[in-house]
Amino acid sequence: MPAQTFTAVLERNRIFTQDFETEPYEVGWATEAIFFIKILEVKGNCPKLEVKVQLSPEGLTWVDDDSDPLVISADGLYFIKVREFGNWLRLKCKIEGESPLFKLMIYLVLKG
Amino acid sequence: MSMEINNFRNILLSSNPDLSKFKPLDFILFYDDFDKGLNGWTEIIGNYPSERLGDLDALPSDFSDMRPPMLSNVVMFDIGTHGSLNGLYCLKLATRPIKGHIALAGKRCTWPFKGKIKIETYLAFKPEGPEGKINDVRAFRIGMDIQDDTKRSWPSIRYLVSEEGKLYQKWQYFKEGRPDAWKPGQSFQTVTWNDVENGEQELCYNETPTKINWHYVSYTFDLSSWEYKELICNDRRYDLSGIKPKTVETYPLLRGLMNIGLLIQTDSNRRAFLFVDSILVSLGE
Repeated sequence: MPAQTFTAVLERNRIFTQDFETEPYEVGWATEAIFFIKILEVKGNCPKLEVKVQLSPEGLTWVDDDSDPLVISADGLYFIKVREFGNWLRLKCKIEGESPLFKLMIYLVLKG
Repeated sequence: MSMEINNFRNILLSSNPDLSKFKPLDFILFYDDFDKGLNGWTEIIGNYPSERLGDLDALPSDFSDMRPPMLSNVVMFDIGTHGSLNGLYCLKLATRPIKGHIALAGKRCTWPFKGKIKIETYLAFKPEGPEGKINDVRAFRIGMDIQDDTKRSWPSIRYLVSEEGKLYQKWQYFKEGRPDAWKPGQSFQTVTWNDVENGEQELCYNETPTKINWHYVSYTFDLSSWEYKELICNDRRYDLSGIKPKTVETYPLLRGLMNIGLLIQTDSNRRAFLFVDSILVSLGE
C-alpha cells in the first residue's frame, strides 16, 4: 500500500499585517511534515516575516520547537521541514517593519 | 435482487464487524473508514468566475475559507487520546474561533443511476477546550449537491444545536436558498431551514468537555422523485417523504453531480469540531 500523504491549505491568499498563528492541525498519523510558505506579495519598508514551528500536547497550549526560525522579506516559495512533532503542528508568524504586508499561502504537506 | 441473494448479502453484511452497523441499500458507492486515510474528503471552496479561472483573488470570499479536513485521534487535555468508534482515527472538521464560522468538507461523486441515495455515518461534535459548552456549537449538517438533466438542488439535513446561545437540539431540512456561507467578519444564513416534524432530539453530548459519544445518523434522498425520504438518528426515525427541496436551473458541465458534504458551524468565538468515525453512501431502488 502506498504511503498516506495529505496536503492541507492552512492559509489561502490571505493578507497579514500583524503577528498570527496558523490554525491547529492534527498530524499524529504522519512521520514527515513540510510547511510551504508561498509569498505572493510583500509591501512596506523593511518588511520581515519570521516563521517558527510550534508543538503542542493537546492542541491548546503551544511551545516553539528547537529549530531556527525562517526569516522572509521577499516574495517566493519557502519551506520548513519538520520531524518528531507529536500530534499537533502550527506556525507562529511574527511580522515586523514599517507598514508591513504579506499576502501568502501556507501549505502543510504530510506523509506517513 | 432475488430473495436468496438478498438473504446471503444480509448475512455477509451482518457478519462483517465494519459493515454490520450500517443498513446500506443495494449498491455501496463508498465506505470510508478514516483509519485508512482521508479517503477523498476535501475542503470545499467556491467557483472562480469563468473569465478569471485560477485567480485566487476572484474566489468568492464567503466560500474561500472552509478549512481543510484532518485526521484526528481526538486528543483531550485531561485524558490524552480518545480515539474513534472503530480504531484510532476519524475525520475532523474544525472551524476557526470566530462566531458563525463554518468548516465544510466534501466528497465529489456522480450518481451512477437514479434511485435512493442513503448516507449513513457515525459522528460526534464538541467545542474546543475545557471551557467549551454545548451552546458554543450552532449546527452540524449532512448535505448533498445534485444535478440531473433539468435541475440542481442542495438537499440537506442539519442538527441545530443552538443559535445565539439558545439551545434548540432539533433536526431541520433544507427547503430553499443556497448553502450556508461565511464571510470574514460576518456569518450569514442564506438557507431556509424547516423544522423536521417532531424533530426535537436530545443527543448524548456529555456534559464533560472532554468526552464525546458517537451517534448513528442516516439520511435518505430519492433522486427519482427528487424528494426527501427519511432521517434516522439512533432510535428515532423521521419520515420526510413528499418534501421536495427547491431546485434551480442546471449549471453547465455538471450533469450527474452528486457531492456529499459534511459541515460544522460554531455559535461562539470558540472552535467547533465535527468528528466522523466512518461514512457509508449507498444507492438503491
